Amino acid sequence: MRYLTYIYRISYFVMFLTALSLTYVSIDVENILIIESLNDSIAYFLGVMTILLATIAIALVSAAYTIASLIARIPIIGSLFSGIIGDPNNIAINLNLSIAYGLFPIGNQDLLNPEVAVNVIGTFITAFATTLIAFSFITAVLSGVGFLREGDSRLAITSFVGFQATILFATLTDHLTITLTVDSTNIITYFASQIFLLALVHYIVLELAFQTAYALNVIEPTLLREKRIRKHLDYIINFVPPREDAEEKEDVVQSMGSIQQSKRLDLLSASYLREIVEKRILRREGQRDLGVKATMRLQSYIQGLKNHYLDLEELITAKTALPESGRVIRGTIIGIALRLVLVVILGYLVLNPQLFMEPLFKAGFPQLFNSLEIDQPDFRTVIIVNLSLTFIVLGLLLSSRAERKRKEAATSEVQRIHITVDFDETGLEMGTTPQSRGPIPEEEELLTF
Amino acid sequence: MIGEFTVIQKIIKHGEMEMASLTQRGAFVAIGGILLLSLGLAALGLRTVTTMVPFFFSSNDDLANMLLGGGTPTNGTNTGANGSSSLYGPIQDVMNFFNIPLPIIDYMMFLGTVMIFAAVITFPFFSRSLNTSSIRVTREIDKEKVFSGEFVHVKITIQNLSRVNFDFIEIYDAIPSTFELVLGENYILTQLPAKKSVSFSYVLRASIRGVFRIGPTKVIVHDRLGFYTEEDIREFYTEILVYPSYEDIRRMEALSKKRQIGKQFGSHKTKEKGTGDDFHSLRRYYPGDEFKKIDWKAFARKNELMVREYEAEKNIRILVFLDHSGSMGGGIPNNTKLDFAIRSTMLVMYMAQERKDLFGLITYASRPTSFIAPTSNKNVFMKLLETLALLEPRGKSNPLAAVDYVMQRLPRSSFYVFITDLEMSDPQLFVEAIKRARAAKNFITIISPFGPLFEAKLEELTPIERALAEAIAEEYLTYRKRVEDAIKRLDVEIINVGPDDMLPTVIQQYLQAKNAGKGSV
Repeated sequence: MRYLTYIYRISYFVMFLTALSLTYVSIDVENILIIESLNDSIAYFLGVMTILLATIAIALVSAAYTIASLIARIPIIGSLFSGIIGDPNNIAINLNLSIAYGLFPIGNQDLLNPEVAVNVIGTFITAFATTLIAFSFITAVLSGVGFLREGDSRLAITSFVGFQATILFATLTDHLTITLTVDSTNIITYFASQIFLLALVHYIVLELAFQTAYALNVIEPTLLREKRIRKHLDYIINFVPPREDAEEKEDVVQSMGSIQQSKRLDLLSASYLREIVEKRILRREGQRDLGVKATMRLQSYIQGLKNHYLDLEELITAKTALPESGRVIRGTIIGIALRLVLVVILGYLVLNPQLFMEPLFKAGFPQLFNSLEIDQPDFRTVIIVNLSLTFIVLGLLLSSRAERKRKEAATSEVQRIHITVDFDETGLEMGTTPQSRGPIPEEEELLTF
Repeated sequence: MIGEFTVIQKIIKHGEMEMASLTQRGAFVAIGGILLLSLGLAALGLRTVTTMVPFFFSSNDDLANMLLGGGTPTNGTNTGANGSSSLYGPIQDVMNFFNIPLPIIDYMMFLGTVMIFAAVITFPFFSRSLNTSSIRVTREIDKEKVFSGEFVHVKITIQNLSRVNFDFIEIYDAIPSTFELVLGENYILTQLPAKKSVSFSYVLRASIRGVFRIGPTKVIVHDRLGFYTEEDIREFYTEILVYPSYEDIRRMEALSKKRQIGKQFGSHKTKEKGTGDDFHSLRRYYPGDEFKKIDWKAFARKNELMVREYEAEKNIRILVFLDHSGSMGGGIPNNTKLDFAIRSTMLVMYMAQERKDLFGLITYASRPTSFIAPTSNKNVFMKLLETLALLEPRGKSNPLAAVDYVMQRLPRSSFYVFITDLEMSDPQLFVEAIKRARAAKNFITIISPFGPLFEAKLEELTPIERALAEAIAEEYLTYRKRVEDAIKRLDVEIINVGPDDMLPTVIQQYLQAKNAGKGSV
């Protein structure tokens, strides 16, 4: 069954590589993945931080000297203070500021001039954006690889977000090298354009990641569980009590005798002590702390169960919970294909509303069809919101219908039980079980999921 | 059947089952889509603003140039550099930075749209078909009554009654927190094809006596991509009655085997003259005595008719008064005074049963809570165990009510063993109870678990704590002394015990009473 997880991983890997290469060729790698941008970004960042810290430090120093000058009126303290720190009047705050600014790469520029400031900000943004692109791209790659290893869908999501950030930042900084012309004459030429192909591939990678996560979630925990429980089961079945040579040493007995005088143990107490010693030996060996006797009892209990349940090992290891591989793969292929077709067609229609508006409104409502609003993004948004809400409302309606059916079925079942069980005779109140004895403990207190 | 009834009732009354909803993952895809869509729309809006900026910030000359020359000045820096006082140049630069090409906006809007639809498009299908009502979960246990420390095998079967495949289903079976999961897991993540079933099982270890419930069972259904989920809590329970631990009895059996303590009838017979086989003594003959009992050899020796008397093989009637008032719950969890009292009672009960003695039990707190008249019937053993299993420390202690209750139902003389910590009862009440019991010619022993010894190990305490503990112990002892003095003249002894000597003491008392024929039948 494990091979199935490999199939999914390989499929994801192939699609991930496709998305990776498409993104890679879509951005101006030569000007992005360069160390200078990173250096610049770090330098700018450090510069800003230095200025901040320097300003804070100067403010603190000024405050300190103000206080010091007040204290200096007392001659002894004043001279002591000056001896340690120096004369407040000789400290050039501006000098300190210029030192701090000197650390800033463009510290000598006239930042008060708007144009210079804009240029500086522009340079900073470019360097920072380039670094962000590189960072996003690397994050996307590493997360994708991480997903392959861990199977955690959050990593796949991070990878997807990383790729989208890469594309967005690359666009903002003019580092997108992909052909941006879109031929929207029909759906095929529309999606044949590089930019939409990129979008499609990224979506497919995300969808496949979720499918892979599903397969891993269903298969791997079951396999691990089987392995883990089988190991434990083998340990119990083959358990041989350790030969313990530990001496039963005398312990302080918590009895009335211990208040008055110590008392020797009798046979019964000695056997309790023996059990404690056994437990200690087991704990040292790192086994599950059941104790020798309990493990042996569990061993014989399991043997007894085996006679009753011929498939005991399968039951305990939950081997039957492993899904059929054919069903899993079939479900994936059909699921992806159906969803992809539906989603892509809907997406295309939303972006080109005139295609479905024409047959619907052209004849009856030419004014609406010819309206400029149809080409506006607001109109697309309205369509998206409406279509999405339609699915949600439909889903909720169906869900509540199922709920109603469930209640109806339950009511008829109650009526059936009313007819077949005479509650007066059984002495039971409705809602109790025949085994109920006494108050039932609070659920919060008892339950552990 | 009735367990299911409870579930069904809950469904009707409370509508416990939840409707299908978006998961975190589904929400991410939907929100991610909305975000991309919003970015696209924002970028589009920004493009519009970019074209409008020159009108707001450029100088009159720039505007005239733009209007006459057509098009916006592309290099704002020039304008600024030429000495214009307007902010048009730098702002235009910043605006140009965010001037995103239209296809990229389409890209974002398309991907956003696709993601939104991906998150919602299969929701109706999920709601229609993947509801949890078509999943039947059944639980099967191998035994409903176990001794503490024993194991229970729980088998869960999940059936899909519908014609729809459940791609991903999670089942969690809640177990009582006092139970230990020793083998297997109490949950499963699996796929459930149409009309198929999946089973799994686990082994629990019961560690505390009482009634416990396994359940409810949580059923969570997801779609394949994990976008939606539906959760349902099946409130059906399986009750397990956990008797007190059988460990002491097992230990006793092992020791008995070693020491070959006789378990047959009469091996611990009462030393009382009667009609047994073993010789007891000789006495003078009185008219009416059977001739066959005349000892002719003694007659020859003493020249007087003597008859032989034999030890009677009588059994005793023992009744344990078990106090389960609130104070009996004191002590280390699972090793409280009550727990030790129950263990002691079980041991005596077992020994009495083995020796064919009549054993009875009355449990009481502020009033008698259960009474099983002394009997040697083995079938009562399980009933006694059940009574002990359900005992909970609560209320005050009223031994007088218990004694009155018993004396109305058991007029014959018996051996009464009180197991009480004497802490939650009025001393006068207790003394009165003892007086009445003694007046009815019952033999009485009071085993009293001494509170401080059950609370903490003295040797583990710091010197200050130890001093405090000793002071408290002293106070307890003073109180007991008062009760002791009051009942001294009634020939009743209070035996104070700690956790380690309680069991042996109780056994010892029973054996001594048996030997002395206290409460003999």
